[in-house]
Amino acid sequence: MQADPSTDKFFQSKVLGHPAGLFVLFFTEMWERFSFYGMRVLMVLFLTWAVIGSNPGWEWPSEHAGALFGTYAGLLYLTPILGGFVADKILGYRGAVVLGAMIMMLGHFCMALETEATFLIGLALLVIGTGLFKPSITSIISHMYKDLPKKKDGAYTIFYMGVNAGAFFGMMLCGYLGEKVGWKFGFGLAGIFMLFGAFQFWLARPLFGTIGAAPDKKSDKTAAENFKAGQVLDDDAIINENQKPKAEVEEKRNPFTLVDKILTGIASVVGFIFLINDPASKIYNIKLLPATIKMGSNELDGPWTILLLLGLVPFLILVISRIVRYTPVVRSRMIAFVIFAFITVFFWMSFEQGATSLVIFAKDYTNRFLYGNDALIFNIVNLLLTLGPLIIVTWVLFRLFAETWREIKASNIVLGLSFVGVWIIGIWMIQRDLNTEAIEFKYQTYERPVLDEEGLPVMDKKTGKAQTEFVPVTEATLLTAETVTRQDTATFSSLEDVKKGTLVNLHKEGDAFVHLNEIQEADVRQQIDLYKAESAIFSGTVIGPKSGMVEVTASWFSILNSFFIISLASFFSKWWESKYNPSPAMKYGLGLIIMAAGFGVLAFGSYGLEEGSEVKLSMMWLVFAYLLHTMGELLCFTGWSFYGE
Amino acid sequence: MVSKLVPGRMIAFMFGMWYLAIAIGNKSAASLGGMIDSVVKDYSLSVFFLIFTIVPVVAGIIIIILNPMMKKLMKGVE
Repeated sequence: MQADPSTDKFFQSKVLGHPAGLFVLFFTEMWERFSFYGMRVLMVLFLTWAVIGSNPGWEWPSEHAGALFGTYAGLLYLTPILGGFVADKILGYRGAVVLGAMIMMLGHFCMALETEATFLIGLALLVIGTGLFKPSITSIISHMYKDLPKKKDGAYTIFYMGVNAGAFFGMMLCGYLGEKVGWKFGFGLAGIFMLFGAFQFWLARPLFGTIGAAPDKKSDKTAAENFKAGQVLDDDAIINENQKPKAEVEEKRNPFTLVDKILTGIASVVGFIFLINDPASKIYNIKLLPATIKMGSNELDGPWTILLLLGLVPFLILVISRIVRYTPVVRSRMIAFVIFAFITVFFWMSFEQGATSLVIFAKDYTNRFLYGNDALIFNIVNLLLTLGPLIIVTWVLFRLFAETWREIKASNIVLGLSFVGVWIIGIWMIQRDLNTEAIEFKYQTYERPVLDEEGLPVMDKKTGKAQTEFVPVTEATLLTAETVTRQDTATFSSLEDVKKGTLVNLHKEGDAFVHLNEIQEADVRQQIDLYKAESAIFSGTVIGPKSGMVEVTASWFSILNSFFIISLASFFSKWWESKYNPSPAMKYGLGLIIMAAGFGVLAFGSYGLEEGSEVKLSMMWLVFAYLLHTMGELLCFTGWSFYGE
Repeated sequence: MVSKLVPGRMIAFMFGMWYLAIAIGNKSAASLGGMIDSVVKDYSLSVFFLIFTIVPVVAGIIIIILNPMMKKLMKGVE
């Protein structure tokens, strides 16, 4: 091995057969993904959560939440194109990682403030920060392994596990804190771990030598070569350049012409305006693009028409004209690539329901309340789910410490502290769930007709009579002499025993009865005043503890994706190494169909379920759906690009 | 895989396209996902999930049918 002096130092200390620096990157990426996924799982929940309650959200319509999240998610994949350029030319990769992480940290804290303005600023900061961070960290790995291409796949696999471990812990802990304690704690926790990650990385810089440092004149030159057209930065480009067989080096060049650049520019600007216009017009009625366009006698949807005519058309011309300019071999490969990219759109279109509709499905249509033995089983499963990955990652952490303690003590200490934090929150979470009890109480209910959206009584299909329901007699309910009342019993979850006969104030939130403490009650009353709503607070008398209970958070289900990836990834890579390795198109097709089957399971399970239905689906439907989604994801993307999402 | 399919100089452009595909996928996912409540109201939850069952199945079948052609197009790619 002929080592480059810049990477020479890097390879001196080894952990698990890889340079220690890889694990610094592993943990940096882990905390970045922790923050990203922690925020992602909370965002739509928070936006759609009821505005009056012990942990109030904003009660946005799901369309609005979806529009805002979609624009955020879409921009996340577009800013790295610019960010990579800035990182390469000005900041250097390491500088871009630190700066990007700091901007993202600020973004998370802005969101934790829970005002609309800071929430939107927070999202914008996250988009900018990701743009700097994401391309840079992968470029550092590429640089590290430029003399060791054979080890690169292994390095990416390790890195990918960091991604998934981060996603796993982020969704688990931010989700739990956000839903059970308060949204701002969940959003804030994401910011804190971003800070840990950035610090740990910055303090580890002695380990990296000149890798990823700010560009000097010499490296600037190679960068300029790769960035002629201001395109996406990815060091694979540089790597490829070095390893290319001779025939390909002689491949004729296909530079970006002025027309190409103009087409790229138009398509990007139109696409960007469309992305911003969508949530702005839906949520705030701020229209950047006309809502409708007249074409002869037809009225067309404005934004879509503009996107298709001024965005898609120039883009297609660009792609097709560039492909035509290549030699036949390259051209046919490029066509294959474009087909894969096209199909990929449909994969993510379904798979990414995980961020929006599946979270709403978990919140509104899944039975998340477990009692007695079911609660105990869940607690044991959750304990193993939490401790298993935590122990493994902590073990990796100690291996890193053993190797690098002398050189980067401060970085190790910061990283160690962040882990102490995760352990504490994880154990607190488990013991909190173990100590949760269902307290039974009795309360007065009255009969009233079931009304539909227009306020008309709903008729029973079988009997033809008006349907009625029994609802709690709240402090705002006016009972007349004819009203039928009765006593009902129900349970609320509690961390402590409540004495028999205690009079408690309760509030129905979603499917749960919440026992309001004094502070919560004051808050709820304030919200009722603010929104001029009718009070739904009612009182009940405690009968006593009934059984153990767990209220599974709606965000809990999202961790299953990361968990299944961690557990199944090696099986799929072994499959690909065997002689039964299917062709890429076959993998893709199977992956899409298996993922679709996951949605088929949900469609089957929810058959006959109505809006606001009291009947909820068992958790197992969603668990099984996530298993199939993950298998589909692994089929489509393992061994292709390490960046699964 | 992306780097195996296309020549070095094209890779930046292709990565841009790959990310663009993911961005479009994400945006449409969230927009459609946000429609869960209105689809449930007008049709049903089953219908909503069937969208995400049928669309990828069709895409999957198309790519499997194209498999022989894709193999030809990708000749020489490991």
